[in-house]
Amino acid sequence: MKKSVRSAAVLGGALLLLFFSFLLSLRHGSTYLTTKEFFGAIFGHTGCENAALILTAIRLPRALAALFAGAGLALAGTLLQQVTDNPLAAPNILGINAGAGFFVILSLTFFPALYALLPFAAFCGALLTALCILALSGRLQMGKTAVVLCGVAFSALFGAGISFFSVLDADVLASYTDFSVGGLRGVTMKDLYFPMPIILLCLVGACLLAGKLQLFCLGDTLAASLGVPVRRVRLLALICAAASAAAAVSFAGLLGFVGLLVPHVARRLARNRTRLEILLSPIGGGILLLLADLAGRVIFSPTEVPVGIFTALLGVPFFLSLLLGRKHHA
Amino acid sequence: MLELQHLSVAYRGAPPVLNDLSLTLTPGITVLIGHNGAGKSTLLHAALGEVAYTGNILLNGTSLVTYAPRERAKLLSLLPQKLPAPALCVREVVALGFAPFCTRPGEKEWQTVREILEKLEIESLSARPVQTLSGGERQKVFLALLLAQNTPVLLLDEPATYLDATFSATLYRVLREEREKGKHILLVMHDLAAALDLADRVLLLEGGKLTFDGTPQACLNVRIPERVFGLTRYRATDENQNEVYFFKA
Repeated sequence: MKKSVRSAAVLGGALLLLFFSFLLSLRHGSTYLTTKEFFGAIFGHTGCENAALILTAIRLPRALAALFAGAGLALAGTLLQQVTDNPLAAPNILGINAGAGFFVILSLTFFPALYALLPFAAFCGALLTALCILALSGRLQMGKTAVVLCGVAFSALFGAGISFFSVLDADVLASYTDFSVGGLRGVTMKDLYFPMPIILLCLVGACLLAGKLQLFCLGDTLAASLGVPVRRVRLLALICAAASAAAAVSFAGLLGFVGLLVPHVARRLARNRTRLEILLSPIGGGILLLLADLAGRVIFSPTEVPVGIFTALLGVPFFLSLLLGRKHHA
Repeated sequence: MLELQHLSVAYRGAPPVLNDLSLTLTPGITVLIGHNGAGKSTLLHAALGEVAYTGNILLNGTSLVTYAPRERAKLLSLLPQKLPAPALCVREVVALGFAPFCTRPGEKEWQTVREILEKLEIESLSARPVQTLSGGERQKVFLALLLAQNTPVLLLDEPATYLDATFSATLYRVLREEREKGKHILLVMHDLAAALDLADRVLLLEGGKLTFDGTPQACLNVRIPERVFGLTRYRATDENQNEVYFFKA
């Protein structure tokens, strides 16, 4: 099959799967809606007002939250793996999780009554930490290795800070646990107004960088020889990754694994075509979180299992089968 | 085409690797020789603008820093010593050589890729993933990428490192063909016999400075292989009665 046709088919298939995952996420939940009620609510038929209320106030924000959290984290993971040439790179290497966590625990300690401040604190913490790591690694002039090493150092520092504030106050620890497990319960449209455009902007930025990022697989010297401004492109890609992951973490908490797993699947499907990979990765992240969140809501209903648990349950077997398949082919 | 003026490079906390070095690259094959750590690779990387330097580098009479990276890549290319193993197949990697000229290779570019692979006698590797190739095969693939980029100035850092005798001969033939096209080729080599056979001009780098700049014959006349590298020279004649030199430690 011609490459462009195959790419279009893969992208089309992924978008279709995303659409059905989104519909499934809207269709199912703790309250049962009949098919008639569901479509009646979507098309605004009379007599379906309650169903419409459930859809617009609860399920739509939650489905959008799953879609954008998955997309943001997976996009960040893909960009990080590209520019650090490290298959283990995930948003946490930029200190996203540690930075967000530390700022959240500061907010819980010093402004316990201001719960509305938490997403803002998480976003600022994640982004500021990532920018500090980028600035410091830039001064060290060690390229991609410096980013990873600075990320490890900052994560250790903020991890210690989180532990310190946790042991001071048991209430703070309890509130922080909710954030650190990650989840989409209680997300409203208001929580998404700020992060959604940021994630979309980062996706556009990543697509614009895709042609140059493709050449990073040749290493810095050959990429430079082929006309890539290596440092500038790496910095822009890292800023996109940091902003995208920080936006996702701000409303979804510290969801792990999505940013590591989905980029590998996307790369396999895209056959190392960076532009396609950058498009497939957020779609894949969205699909994974939509399905994981749906499973978490429905399987043990009315008890709800945090989305992070089902992300791992759905994702790890798939990831391992992918690795085993790759070894078999090699 | 490429001119280095008073070039100095120093890594943090270390003495300068290149010290007030000036050089104008002439058309033909210029071979850069020197001991390990003399700064040969640093000189090539500095010429690409990849390491911080003081002094001035002129490309086509214009300062290198004023070039947009993509415009520079149309004039100057570098084959590094350490080569990557991307998860792409051979023809895809070679086609990346067109990156400075077009965003997506068309039929004409793919035809050129096929011709280059034939020229380097590696067309059978065309669909193989680069990750599955040996060091020598990868060297050939990246040489093909350099030929696809087709710049007037070529910088090559020890391109014969992993190559067997047969492909080394192919490499030298290809470089001579490029010389015939009027290209400026700067080559780092450790095999002195091959270097002196191939070069139009030899440069010796010692202590961050060029201490010799002349023809291969002049290099032999001032006994650089013996004086600098401690080698013993052996002379023979080939079947066409040309003089051939061998060196032994």
